[in-house]
Amino acid sequence: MSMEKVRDLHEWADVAERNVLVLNYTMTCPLACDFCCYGCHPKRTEKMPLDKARDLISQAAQLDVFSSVGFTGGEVFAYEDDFLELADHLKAVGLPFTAATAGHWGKSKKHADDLAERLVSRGLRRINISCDTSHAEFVPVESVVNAATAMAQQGIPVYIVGTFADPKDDLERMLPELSGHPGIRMFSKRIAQVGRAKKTRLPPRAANNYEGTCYRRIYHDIVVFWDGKTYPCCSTFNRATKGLCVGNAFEESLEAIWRRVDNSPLFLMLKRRGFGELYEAVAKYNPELYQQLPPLNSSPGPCSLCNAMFSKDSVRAGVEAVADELFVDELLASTNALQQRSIGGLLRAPPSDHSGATGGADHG
Amino acid sequence: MADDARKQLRDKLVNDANAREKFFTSFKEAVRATGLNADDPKVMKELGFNTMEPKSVDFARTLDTSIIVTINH
Repeated sequence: MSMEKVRDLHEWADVAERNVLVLNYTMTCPLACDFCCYGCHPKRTEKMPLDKARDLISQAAQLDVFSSVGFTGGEVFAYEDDFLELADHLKAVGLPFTAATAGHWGKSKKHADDLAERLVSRGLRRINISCDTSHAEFVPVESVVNAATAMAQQGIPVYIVGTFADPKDDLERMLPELSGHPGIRMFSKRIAQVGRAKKTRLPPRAANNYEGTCYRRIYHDIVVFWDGKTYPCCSTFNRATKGLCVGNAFEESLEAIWRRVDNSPLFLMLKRRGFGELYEAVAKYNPELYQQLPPLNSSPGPCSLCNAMFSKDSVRAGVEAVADELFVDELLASTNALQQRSIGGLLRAPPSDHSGATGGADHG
Repeated sequence: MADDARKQLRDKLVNDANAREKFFTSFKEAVRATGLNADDPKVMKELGFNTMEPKSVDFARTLDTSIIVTINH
């Protein structure tokens, strides 16, 4: 199987994404959902400076490893003028974008239609609208319907995502008028135990004997928060996981951070081989550290397990060191194997075919 | 390579992310120079480099996280 054929999670999402720069633009939100992962509400004022956002977009366009920019928060539509200005900039630099929103701007159908036209013409290529019983306390379902249909009419995929405590609840029942609507898909999820929901009593979820991987297998969602702090994923636990912070994009280049993430043996391991093999490696290389890891079967999914593992700096550093060691050991063994192969080839091939065929990677 | 030189190289690569990145890049170039596809996880696995192998990709669809911050959001 070639890497090109390996589907990343995002590819089931209508558009094949490579790396995505996600701007977590603000903690301001007209809503105050009881499970919000970042504890957002209308009185929070943290917002990314507009010039910083523009600069990050310019850097992303120059790097040529990002296929789009995602906006989230908080509620980026709370700063509609900023968002439109950034959309203009994205269009100018040739990067498409996506957004996550609660759809409060759909209160007026005319405004929703106008905004959808303006954003899609600037390169908005998918929108995620959150809607569930918590969101509905603040945003009428009619606004969501207006926002979703306005975007769908512009021809972009619309995902409506509901997050529920009760597994029996789902979006089809909440939004029957959008069920089966062309271009609109619904996803019903379970609340994760993070943010305002950290201490909420939720129906029990089965823990997995976890053999899974990070949700993105190949590429990365590089998430820059309003204060520049940067994380390697869109996990709902990212901000709550101290050891996941990979730098500050206001203090160093996006390229430096992206390279750090892309070349991290730890992230490679979590994405390609999964938690089970990482645990095996820790047991082999550092048995003492292994005793400090949360049990592999103690979490309902990879993000909560990652959060449990990497909240302590010492554990994060130890696990990262193990991943580095394993990576290097395999790399050196592979270099040997390649040299053996090349030498075998040399012995079999006529002299004129030799040039450049030896393994040149062994710098030692 | 002598054992002590190998150990020195290993220590350098474990502790220096930049050196590791350069070495890995050179390694992939060397793989390509032999006519193999360095981006093919199967090829890399045959060489003993398991970290490239994407395993159970379909499993990624069943995770409790989703597209662009969509739970608890």
